[in-house]
Amino acid sequence: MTSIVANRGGDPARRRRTLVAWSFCLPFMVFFLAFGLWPVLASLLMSFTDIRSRDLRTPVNVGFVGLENYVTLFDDPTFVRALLNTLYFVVVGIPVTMVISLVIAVALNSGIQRLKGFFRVGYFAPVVTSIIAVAVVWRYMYQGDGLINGALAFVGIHGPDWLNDPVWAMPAMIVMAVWRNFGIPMVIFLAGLQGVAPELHEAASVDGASRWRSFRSITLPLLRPTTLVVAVLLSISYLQFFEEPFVMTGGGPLDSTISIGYYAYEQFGFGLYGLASAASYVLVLVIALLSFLQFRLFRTRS
Amino acid sequence: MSRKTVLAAIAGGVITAFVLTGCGRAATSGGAVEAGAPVDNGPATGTVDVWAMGTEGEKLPELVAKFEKENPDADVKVTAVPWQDYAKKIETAVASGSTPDATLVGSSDLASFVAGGGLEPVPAGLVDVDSFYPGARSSTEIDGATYAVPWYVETRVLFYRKDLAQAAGAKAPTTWDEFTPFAKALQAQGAKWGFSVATGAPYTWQGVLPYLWQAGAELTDAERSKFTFDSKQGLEGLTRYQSLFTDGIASPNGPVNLGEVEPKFVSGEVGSFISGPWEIGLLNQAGGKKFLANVGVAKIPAGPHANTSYIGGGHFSVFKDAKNRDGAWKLIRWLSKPKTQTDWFTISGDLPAAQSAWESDVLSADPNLAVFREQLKNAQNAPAVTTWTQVGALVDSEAEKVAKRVSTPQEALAAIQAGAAKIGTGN
Repeated sequence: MTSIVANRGGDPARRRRTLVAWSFCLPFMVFFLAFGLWPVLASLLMSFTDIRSRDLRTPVNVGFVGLENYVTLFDDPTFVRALLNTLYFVVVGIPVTMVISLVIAVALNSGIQRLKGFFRVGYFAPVVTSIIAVAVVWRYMYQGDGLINGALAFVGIHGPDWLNDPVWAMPAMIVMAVWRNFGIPMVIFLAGLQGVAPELHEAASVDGASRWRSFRSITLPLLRPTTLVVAVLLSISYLQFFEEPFVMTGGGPLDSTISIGYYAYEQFGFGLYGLASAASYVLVLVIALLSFLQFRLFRTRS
Repeated sequence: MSRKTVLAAIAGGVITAFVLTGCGRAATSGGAVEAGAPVDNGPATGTVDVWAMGTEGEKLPELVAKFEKENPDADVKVTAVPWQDYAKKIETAVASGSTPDATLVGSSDLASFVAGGGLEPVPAGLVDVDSFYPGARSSTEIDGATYAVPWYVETRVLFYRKDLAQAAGAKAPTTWDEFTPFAKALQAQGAKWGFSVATGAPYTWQGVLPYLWQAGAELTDAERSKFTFDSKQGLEGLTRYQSLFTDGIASPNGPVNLGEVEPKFVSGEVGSFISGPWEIGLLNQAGGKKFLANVGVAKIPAGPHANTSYIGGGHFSVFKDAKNRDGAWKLIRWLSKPKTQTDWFTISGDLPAAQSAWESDVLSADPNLAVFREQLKNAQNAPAVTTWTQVGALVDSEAEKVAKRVSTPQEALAAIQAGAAKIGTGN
């Protein structure tokens, strides 16, 4: 090592500059290593040990159990249920959120002329509300004789008891999550739409393309990078699905809304830190996998 | 550095970390834990740092002002912590070694904190343990040592709509057999449900286990070394729980959140439910002072064995890392005195854990409190085992299956027993 450094940094002024540069980076590096990288690594290590709450005072005095925690997880029907529920939430929730946010972004970009600011604020408002306050309102809306079933009865549909029905509790969670989360993708799409040059649309209309055709063949392809960003951001936040069941259902009824995040939270509560870390790392793995797939899917063809 | 080198460096670091830290569980040293070193009778000195939760945390400073007057050299610093997630706060404090001197602990959580190893056993001769209610005392005894001093207790009794019962000509039920027709009579007077009970929400077990106890079930063996849910009595209790739903008395979709049942009780949708001493205050909030005249309070209806209810409450514990250990124990000794407990009742409404405190005028005059006092004679705590949070959650989820008739009581009890045996008692 030393000889290489000596050869490369033979010039003392250069070496000094490097040293100064590193010392400027040092505060960041120290903070990043201590508070960024170390907790991530520590929890990965924990997932391979049998650490529990009784080991808190002696965190290194634990047994190394290899993949046992992961085996236990997949043996636990509740965890498998949580995994499937999370995938259900993601597979249905993400496309619905993306379509709705895109439609509203397009409407705000070209359709709505009056009160544009009002609508933008209105559609973005759910993002900045507190889930706790909102949960109370939604619980009332979802009641057997609540607002939503009232509206459904108006068109002759007898609505279910949403939050107490194992089949309908998850769709209810998805609707609420979509409402709460479409604001940010909407803003990102809006920015993407404003980056589409109007000349392209003009040229298309001169060629006789309908508005739908020019949307499909010009706007959508140009929004590809934006769509990728939205898809990745949404899948990260939707896979960590936790707050809705936490405040609305407690994972029930009959585990129908339990998610991986909620499962891990419960295991932490039981003091089973090793198992909880393993559950969290399964989640990390799924997020990484899904993001990779999305990068493949939405990559700009050059 | 190339990307590969970075990855290799990280992998290397992880392995080195394992080797350097010398991971591996050393043999745990067994043997009985002794009581803490004795504390003298002199006045307390120095700063005593105390954590207390919820309303208790807000009102405690008013009480300890008297302690500071009696011990002029002592300064008690109370930090109010919310009940939600207080367990994680205590665990974090223990792990980092920066704990307060003493803390309030929920009685059913104590065992899991003891497992964390951060609490000091109660000094020998600090208090007379027999002065407390047996259910409160037994929840402080874990692995043969005492880790906390009971402070206040709570037990559950039956709250019912007196106006509906009177209109139906029904008396408060005293047994299981009387309870079913009683609840149906309330329904005949317009209540949609004669009774309301939790069905799967966190802490559902507090509503379910009393039925097992009332049938005479013991949930662990005498040494608390293994669970014994699957007894004939256990099955009888769980079957009783299911009959509440099959008889159409209670909704299989019970309350999930705190504060859900009170408006329904006030509106008359729910005719009766089981709850603790704080409920009178909540009903006052939900229905107003006038409504309280319609609220009847009665002891829990008895099963074939007894009319056992659940007992919970708050204990005080001292941390091993306490800076002012003696001061903390002296404060706790003072807090457990009957006179202090009576004062605390007038400040907070919390029921005294010391039995003799109930002799005072403020407590013996109130007819509602008399019901709680009677019920406390027959109230049981959750098994004081270190794994209880986990087993309790298992009972919650199996009870939900019973309530929604996905499982028979037999299947659910077998699942609870198998799951609990796998989790173990930690002993």
